[in-house]
Amino acid sequence: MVKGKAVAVVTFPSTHYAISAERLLAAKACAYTIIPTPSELSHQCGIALQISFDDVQSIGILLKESRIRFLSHRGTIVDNRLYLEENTML
Amino acid sequence: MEHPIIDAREKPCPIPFVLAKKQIEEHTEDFTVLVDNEPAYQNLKKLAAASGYSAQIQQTEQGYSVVFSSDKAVHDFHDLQKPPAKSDEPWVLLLKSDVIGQGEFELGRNLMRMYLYTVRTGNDYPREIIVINKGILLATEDIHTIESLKMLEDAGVVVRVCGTCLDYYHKTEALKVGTVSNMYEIAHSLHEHKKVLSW
Repeated sequence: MVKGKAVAVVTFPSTHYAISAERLLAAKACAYTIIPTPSELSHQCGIALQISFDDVQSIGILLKESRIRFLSHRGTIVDNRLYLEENTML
Repeated sequence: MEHPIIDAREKPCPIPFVLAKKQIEEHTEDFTVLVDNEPAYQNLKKLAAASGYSAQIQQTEQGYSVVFSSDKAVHDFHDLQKPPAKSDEPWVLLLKSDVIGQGEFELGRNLMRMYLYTVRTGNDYPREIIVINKGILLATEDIHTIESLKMLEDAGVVVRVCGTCLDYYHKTEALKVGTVSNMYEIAHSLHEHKKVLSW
């Protein structure tokens, strides 16, 4: 049985958006992990946020309210490593 | 040669993809993945194409069988998080600051968080991590770096935290990960290892 944890990877068009988002989520006590943007998504800026898949909607609303531009991608954590599924932009 | 057959039927997306990807990462030359829906086999087909494998798809009574065959000895596989190549010799990571580089604090702090995340998700762990001067904040204040250091410590990495620095910054009681160390141990560790990476 594979133990996979569903996550979302949130990417940003610029570092400034990424840092603003991190500041916002920290202020709102949201759970997130700062990660390097996976290389398949490297057209985005280098800083990404990994969040629980369950939080995609609520965090998405927060970011939109603050006019932070972002994209979300579905992923899975298996054995402490992140795997993104292809073509799963949320 | 062994030909693994992975039954991924009734497994939710993206588990079939993840299982196939693990086989590719382990350089399994030939293997079969059984799936029960079209999107799953379409994803596997794309994965094969991106990974230097050919994929033969057969429809069965219970779904689809995707046979992966290695086309090349060396796969040009674009891993999302390709870990750094494993070092032959043990190494030490010396963290002298809570940020990477000089400049804006928020940027430097996030660079450090990302670096430790990359180390902990890779397969080339240092033997020891030494945090010294403001680096001790990584083990006392920042939940993101504390999480990474804890995972590394759980995996067997020795995390040494400068006791003098903890005392200086009044953070002795705030230590969340690692063991309090002194300059004798730190100097010994640095002299003992030929390879020391430092931020």
